[in-house]
Amino acid sequence: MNNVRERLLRSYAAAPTVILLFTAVMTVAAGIRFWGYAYSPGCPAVTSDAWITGAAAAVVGAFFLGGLLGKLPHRHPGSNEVARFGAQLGLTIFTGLIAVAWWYETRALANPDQLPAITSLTLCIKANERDWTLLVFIVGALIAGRWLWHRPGTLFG
Amino acid sequence: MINPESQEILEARRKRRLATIWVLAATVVAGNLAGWLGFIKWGPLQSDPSRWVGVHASAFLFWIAVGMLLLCLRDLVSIRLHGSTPPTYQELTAESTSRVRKPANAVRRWMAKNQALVGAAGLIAGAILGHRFWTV
Repeated sequence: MNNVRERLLRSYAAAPTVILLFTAVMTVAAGIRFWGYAYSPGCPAVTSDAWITGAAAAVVGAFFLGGLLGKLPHRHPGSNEVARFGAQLGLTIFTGLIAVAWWYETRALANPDQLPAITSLTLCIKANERDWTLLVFIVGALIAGRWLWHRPGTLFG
Repeated sequence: MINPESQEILEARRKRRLATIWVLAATVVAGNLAGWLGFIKWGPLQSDPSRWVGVHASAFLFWIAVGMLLLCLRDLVSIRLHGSTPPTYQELTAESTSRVRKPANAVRRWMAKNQALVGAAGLIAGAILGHRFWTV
């Protein structure tokens, strides 16, 4: 038990743990909010300004902030077999989810009367829950920035 | 850190992985062709001229994702069997003399060194496209 606690306390485990918890909370919250939601193509229309919006600027800014966060001191345990296998397993599950999403999207595009496309659902969610949608995109950009700027051999790696 | 595996084993693993990638690329091409020719039924609007590009572009990305998934599964088994990730071109000391692979490796090196800039460019391009076409 102490061994597990020690592992969780290490900074490299903290970030993925927070991300997993955030994903779990958002998934449950979205499930409660939209369970049984009657989708209709007539979601509130979203308008677009010609200029970049504050939300888009915030997401791009979060990407660069992710790069700055990576400058904070942290320990890295070094590569080991368990970590390698775990990372590959996570990547495999993530890729599997993407494949399922594209399978659904393709069927939805070919059956618009029966299945709403993911892009339509995303726009509906954005129209109904603007703040939470923005938060999810900001966190995603933060993670992408933290990961991309600090890969070994890259600008800050 | 000294890799316990000999250079020959690393090169053999790299060759087997490349062979798998070629098989998966053929699978992606075959899957797309099957969709275009109507052997795979995605839905009634699959052959509608106004929807053709959207449906088959999505199907193309689905087949790419399937190929990546199978490659991930293959790498998972490889890590389990060998106790290390499949070797990349960087771990193989001999620079390829192939007319295709040599410039490809140069592009890979540049992308690896500048992947944050590539990622930032992709993010900004995605934001502009999303803003323009989906009014996000």
